[in-house]
Amino acid sequence: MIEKMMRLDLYTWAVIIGVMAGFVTRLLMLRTDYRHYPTYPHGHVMHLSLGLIAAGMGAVAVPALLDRNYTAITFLALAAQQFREVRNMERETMSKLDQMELVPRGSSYIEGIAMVFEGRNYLVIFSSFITSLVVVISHRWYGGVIAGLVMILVAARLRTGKVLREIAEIRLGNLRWEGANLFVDDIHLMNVGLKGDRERIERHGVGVVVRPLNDVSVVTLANLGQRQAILHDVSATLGVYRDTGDAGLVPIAKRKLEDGRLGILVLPHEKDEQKVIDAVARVPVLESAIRMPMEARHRNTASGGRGLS
Amino acid sequence: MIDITISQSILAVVSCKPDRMGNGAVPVFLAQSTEEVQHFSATLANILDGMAHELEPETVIVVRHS
Repeated sequence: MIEKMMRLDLYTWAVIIGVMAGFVTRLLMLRTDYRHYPTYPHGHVMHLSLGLIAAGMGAVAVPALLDRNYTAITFLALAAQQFREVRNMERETMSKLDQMELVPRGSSYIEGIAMVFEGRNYLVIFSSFITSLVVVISHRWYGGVIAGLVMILVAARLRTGKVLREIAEIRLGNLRWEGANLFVDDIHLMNVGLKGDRERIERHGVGVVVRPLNDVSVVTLANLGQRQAILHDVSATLGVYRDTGDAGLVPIAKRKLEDGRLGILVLPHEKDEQKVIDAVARVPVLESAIRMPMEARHRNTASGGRGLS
Repeated sequence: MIDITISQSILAVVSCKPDRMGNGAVPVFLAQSTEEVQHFSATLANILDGMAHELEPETVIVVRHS
């Protein structure tokens, strides 16, 4: 009888500590910034409660499985189904909101954010599962606390993706005109027909040149979704000098075909060149934009140095 | 609101070179000077929600991109 009590106690500990570890993981991964939809209170409540449910699922699975209650695994499958639904919901809502943006995010960025929402819930399940497993195996509640801390650190590491700064060199470019054609350094951006628009671009525009550091990042920067993400992020952080009907004042990113450099024109509300550079440098590299051409065998012999001019 | 858009099309042409204009399906607005070309195309771009592009200083086209 006492033995049974002890076992029950251990399992209870496993669940409690597992849930706590999972919840703290979600709390740490809950970042409020310009990227998120929706940001304040309701968004927080939504994601934290889902995180709590995920943590509960992960923590309860261990005692259930050890009790040979193998149907518990079907609940995990059910949870996966639910979280995929959450991803769909996020995607739909953000796509709708995107139509109201002056500089839209683009579907690649939205897909990326939705993917992160789903992925974070799985990380929570994973971290609470491992924590609760350690409590049961080690027979010590503090064993679980240590495992929980380790899992939280691992999750914190996993949540950070690459930013543009790591795959490309970002510097200011010189905006210049050749007749009605706008160039940033030697990269042609667009043809602007109206003198008024040209003057406004001269006053408010900032030119940026993004030079990819290697062959892989050339392909990433060529992705249209990645370019749209850059334009959106800069416009979202620094504001945008634009309104409906001003089709001539449009932030734009064009590619130099010879070496894969990107020429970017942004129209920040507050013209601070250093802030523009920082904002571009912090743009996340979209998972959907990453290609790994160097991993393919036939590319190994291809000449390096493209994009290094 | 029904959202009908014609994308990537020339909405109007503004020029002060009448001899260069052929007969097309696009409305052509004849201006007297390059200043008037600018004025007309700015107004048209605003009204039509399009972007003005310069073919030459005397001829501007208004294009809808999205």
